[in-house]
Amino acid sequence: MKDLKRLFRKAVLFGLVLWALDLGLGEGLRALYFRRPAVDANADLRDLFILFEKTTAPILILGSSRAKNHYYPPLFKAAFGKDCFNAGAGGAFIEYHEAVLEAVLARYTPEIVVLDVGPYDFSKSKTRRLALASLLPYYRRHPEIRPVIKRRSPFERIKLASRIYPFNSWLFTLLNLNLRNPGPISLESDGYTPMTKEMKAPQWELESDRVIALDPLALRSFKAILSRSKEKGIKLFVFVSPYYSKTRKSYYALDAAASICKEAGVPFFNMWDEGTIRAHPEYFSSVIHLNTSGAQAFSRLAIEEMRPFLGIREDVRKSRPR
Amino acid sequence: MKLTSVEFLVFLFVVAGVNGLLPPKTRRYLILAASLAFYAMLAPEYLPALLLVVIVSYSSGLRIEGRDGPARKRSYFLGLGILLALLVSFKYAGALRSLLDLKSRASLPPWLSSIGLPLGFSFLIFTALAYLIDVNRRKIPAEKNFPAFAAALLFFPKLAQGPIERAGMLLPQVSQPGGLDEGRVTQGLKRILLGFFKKLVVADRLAVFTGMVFGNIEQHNGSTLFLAMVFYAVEIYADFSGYTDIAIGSAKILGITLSENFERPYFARSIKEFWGRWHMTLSAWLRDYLFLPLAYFFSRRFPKSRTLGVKTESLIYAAATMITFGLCGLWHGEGLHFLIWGLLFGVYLSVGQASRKFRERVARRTGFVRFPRLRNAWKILFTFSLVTVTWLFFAVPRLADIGLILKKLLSFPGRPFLLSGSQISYSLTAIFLMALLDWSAEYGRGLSAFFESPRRIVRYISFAALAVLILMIGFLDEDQFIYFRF
Repeated sequence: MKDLKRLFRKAVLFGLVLWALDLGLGEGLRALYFRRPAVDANADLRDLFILFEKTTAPILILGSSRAKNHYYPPLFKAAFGKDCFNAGAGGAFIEYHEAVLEAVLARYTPEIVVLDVGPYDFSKSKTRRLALASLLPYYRRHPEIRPVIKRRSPFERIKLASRIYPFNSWLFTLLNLNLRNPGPISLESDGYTPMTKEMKAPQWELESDRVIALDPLALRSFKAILSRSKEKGIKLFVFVSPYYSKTRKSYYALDAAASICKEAGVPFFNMWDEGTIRAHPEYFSSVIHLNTSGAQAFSRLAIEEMRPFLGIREDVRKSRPR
Repeated sequence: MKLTSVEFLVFLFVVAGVNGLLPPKTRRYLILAASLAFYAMLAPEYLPALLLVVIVSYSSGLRIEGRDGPARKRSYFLGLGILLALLVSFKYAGALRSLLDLKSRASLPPWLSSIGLPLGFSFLIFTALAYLIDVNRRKIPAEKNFPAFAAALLFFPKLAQGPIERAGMLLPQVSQPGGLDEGRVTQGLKRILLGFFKKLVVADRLAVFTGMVFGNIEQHNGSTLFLAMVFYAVEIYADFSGYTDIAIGSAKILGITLSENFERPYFARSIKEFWGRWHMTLSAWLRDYLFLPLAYFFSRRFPKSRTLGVKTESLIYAAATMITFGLCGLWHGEGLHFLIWGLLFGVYLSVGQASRKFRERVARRTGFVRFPRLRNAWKILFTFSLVTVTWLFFAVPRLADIGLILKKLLSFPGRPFLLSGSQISYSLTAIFLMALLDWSAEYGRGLSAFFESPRRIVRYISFAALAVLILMIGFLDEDQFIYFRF
């Protein structure tokens, strides 16, 4: 008993020292992360900051890097006469989109949301939860994303008791960003990342025609996005943008997503092997990503598909930016 | 459940808490239940294989002890044979499958194709073999209590990666493990923290660079490959010794002392010394159960003082060393690269032993002996370089790729590719901190003054700073453990 008391005293004292160090350094890292020079100097930080703190764009694009590279906001703006922000993020999965939508809904309600999905969004994978790491710095500022973030691991809540943990592996990047002079400060971005590269020698991606094991948590997130959009009166469109891949279009995961959409009355467009895009290998920068020309071509097609649901008759080609 | 996860810590604390509440004689049952639960969470499909090893070694031990003469010998060799057959069939299942596929030209049933190496199986078999050998040599009595025996063999902190414990050392402890002792818990937690630091801040951080470079050898020049080789040498050490620290610390919390497995191996001044500091429980196992019996066998077969004009003693040393390290290489895996890795160490040791006097003479004649510090530094650097070359056979399984790396190292240096500024900063910081930790421990200076300060607050701040470093620059999302493969 005496031993336990001593152990408890030691643990409390050590805990206090650790808490003080964690608090001091964690707050320091937080300040470095949200300082304007850092936010301005890094496109990913900037776009995330705009998304969480600034944008009120009525049209919002959600998805992975494929969304980031495939949806060209100026065309959406021209077609629908409303601002558009592309919130696609590299390596992001459906849970990430759910968290982002919740963060946005806490500030304003977009009119139109375009969600780009792929089979990877619904498949069981160890890496899917890693993408949520980029949202950790917003954990304290945005309580609405907490339920999603906590799904990263069973003990995420314990880890997030630390102030440093959300900024894990940011130290050197933040020091570098804060020391570098970024030039004129600007938070103007529509979130789109242009890709100029053209796929040199097109190679069909030879994936196996397997049935992907579905992740029930991913399907839950997908359904949550659908139901939250309906609840808030958002016009939601779900797309599968083109791949330059031989893999069959009808993935089990995408069939499941399509049937969920059908049930919820949400338009679902599987444009995986869209012929007009596939006919142009020069539209692709790789088998999974379109370049800017491809993004413009695909965005026009997507807008045409959306148009009847929005009751707009104008021809998008007339409003193409020059 | 990874040893570096919060899940493991929670599991350990729950087991330690219950262990503290139980009367000493019943603790072995808890240890056994916890070990089985731990393995069931890691790889439940291989639990029967592990239990088979436990049953075979338990019953063989009793049979050996209860008999004399040829019957004893029969039981002994039967036990060893079954254990070795299990090791070979699981370890070389892949190679056997390829051979069967090739011979029969027909696809094998799916259940046979899915057989892999159970996690920690090689470590378990070596522990079991040592037990049977020691019982046969009458060094230890056979254990009569099955739960205590099973708990010792399957003791969860060391199950997946060692240390390879001797039954004589572990069985008495597991039979009556200690309770919740304040001093041991504190020491254990400090050791676990150190292990977390080595694994998450050093090993996993360096793995980002080495994984990327060795995964695309053709794309990288000689300088980048050289850097990756050095990084890999630090990575594998931090990885393995980090996990060992966690195992030792966890065992300490449960009132059990495990053997040390590493003693700053990169401060070794010769390959012989390196093996006295690296994976010490494996080196001791190989020495006691393979090298010495082989050397004894050869010396009985070749009683003359000179053979073929060479000292028989030197030839016996070389032969026993080559066989021991060749088998050590094969113990690590089925690939030819592992065999070459082992044989390379055999060559290093044999040449080192044969050239010892010559090197001493050269040092005396050149006056190098007058600069002991410089000489020591040179020896450490040379030994590290030799060892770093051998790790190439661990990091890269294809011999053609190893050839390409060696070719590029010699002919195509160029500017190294450094991934990104922050990545290389993390890697260099990790190497610096690891070197500083080892240097402090080796010479009792530097950081030791903080970690072992007589002032409690200084010690607390030092360990809290270590924890903060883990949170700040540790690689917390991905995990791979090199030695889980064995």
